[in-house]
Amino acid sequence: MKPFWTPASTANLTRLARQLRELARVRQWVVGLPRPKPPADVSAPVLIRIAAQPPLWLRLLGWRRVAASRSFAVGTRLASAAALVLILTLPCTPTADPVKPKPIQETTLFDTPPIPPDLWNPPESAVLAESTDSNDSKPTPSAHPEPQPSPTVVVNLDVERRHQAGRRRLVALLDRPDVQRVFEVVESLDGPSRSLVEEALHRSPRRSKDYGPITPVRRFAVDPERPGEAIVFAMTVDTHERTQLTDTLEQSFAGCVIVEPGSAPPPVVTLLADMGQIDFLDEPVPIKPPEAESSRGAGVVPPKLNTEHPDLNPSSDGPCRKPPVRAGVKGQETDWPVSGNRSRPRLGRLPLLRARRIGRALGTDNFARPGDHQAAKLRSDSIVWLLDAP
Amino acid sequence: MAGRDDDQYLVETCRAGQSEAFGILVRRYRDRLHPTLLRLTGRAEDAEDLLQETFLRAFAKLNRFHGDSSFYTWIYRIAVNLALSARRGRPITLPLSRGAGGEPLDPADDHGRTDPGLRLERAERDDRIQNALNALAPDHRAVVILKDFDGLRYEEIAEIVGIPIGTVRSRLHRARSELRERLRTLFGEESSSSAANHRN
Repeated sequence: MKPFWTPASTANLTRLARQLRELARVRQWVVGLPRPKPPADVSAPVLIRIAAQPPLWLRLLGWRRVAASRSFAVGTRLASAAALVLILTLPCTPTADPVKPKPIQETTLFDTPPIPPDLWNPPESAVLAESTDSNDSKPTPSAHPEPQPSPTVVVNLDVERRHQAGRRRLVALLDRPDVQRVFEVVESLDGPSRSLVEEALHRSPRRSKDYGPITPVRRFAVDPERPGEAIVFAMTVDTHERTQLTDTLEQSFAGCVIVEPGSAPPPVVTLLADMGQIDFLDEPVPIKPPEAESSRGAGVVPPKLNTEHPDLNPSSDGPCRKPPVRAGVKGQETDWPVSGNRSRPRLGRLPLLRARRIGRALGTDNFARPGDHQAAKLRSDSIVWLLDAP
Repeated sequence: MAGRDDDQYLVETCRAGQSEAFGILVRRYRDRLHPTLLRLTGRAEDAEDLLQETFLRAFAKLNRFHGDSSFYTWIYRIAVNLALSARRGRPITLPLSRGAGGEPLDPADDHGRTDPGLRLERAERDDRIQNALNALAPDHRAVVILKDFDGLRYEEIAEIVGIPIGTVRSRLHRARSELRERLRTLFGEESSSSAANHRN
């Protein structure tokens, strides 16, 4: 029986923690690289080059090759001369009742309505949110002739205004100096709130590196090899919450709060480093001796176990179909159910259900209402717990 | 709001023949594409050329844009692929914290009262980070820039670069580890300076 914790595992853990910190710092440095604006407005040359492009059918025929050929040049000149001769030789006989040409109706392929005026001239708020330098790089009037907007406006202006207000609010939130990271806690990865935040992230300029690394994160990382299981429960708490969490964990999962020895695989390390400020417990949480030990004399008492859910109850015939494995602190072994097909309880495996329960135990139950989102400030004092799944 | 529907509307307008609508899209997304291209190519001139080329290619292939993804994602993919194909086999030599004319690019002033010494220090650090980035293989550099610089998700990176998510994670980890090794001296300097600050 391998013990849960050895001095070597602590050394490995410290090394892993240092590596993670350094990886996280590398990420912060890359995030903080300056984002210079393009020196000139590229829309003007792009539009000029677009206008200079030959029609599609000519490009498909190989316009450049045709135009460059000598026969094409000779043919062009001959055709011009023939047209000139034709014009000069034709009699000029105007008819008595000239047919009035019909005005040419502009037909489009998609019957697309013209661009609404507010898109041609975006409001100040949108310009402010997009770029502070955009006023300096306005296109020249010659390059962008002012279009004549049609009175038929299709875009719903109320929806536009509402979107703009939401965008301004989010951009203002992201630009607050005290916000290090904005995250949403939602039940699923889909939904309007996530897309709203992503939209805001994409739209918001990163003026400062401190506001740059804004990424919607989840509370825990899911092992890609084992969907449905959380391999690490990562959570950001301050010192007080950390103490509270430690107490709660010790009460609920006495003897099981340990750290994972050895080094994690690269994807897991990458996921951990992505979570930003990471800290590890330098030493395992001291395991409280069971209170009932003295009453039972020298007998071995299994750790206290929260048996609210069949998965967590070693004696239960719940959904866990794997045979239990005898494990635990030396001298206090007990039977534990195993999730997955591991031959022994994997350190660091944490069922999803357990993660949610810990969130509720801490009073940060944000998983209950799907779609209900909130922005929160992550604190600098962050920890990552690696828990043993019984 | 410059949303997805709005982009789609502009695309359709552009398809209908009003190429000026494409100018709106160019102005809307040039500032977001340029830094990525600059980091990927390593030269301001190349980045600007690629930026124009990206939009021209997008315009030429506008009929292939069906709106399955957002216009930005689509054009971003074009830009990254162009940059990757342009950079493969061509080493980056120019430090990126220099502008087109060789002048240093000011780092972001995030506190409003930053002293010039700190800014210079930061510019020098950015130079070293960029040099370390430039030393990476193009594929590794692209993954780091897409993830850390642009904040894309793994799924998006996998889709853009055309590799599985596991490969994205592995490349990212290797790239960051290599960066960490190359920036080892910087770690030492930072820790010593923080220790000095702590003593003070």
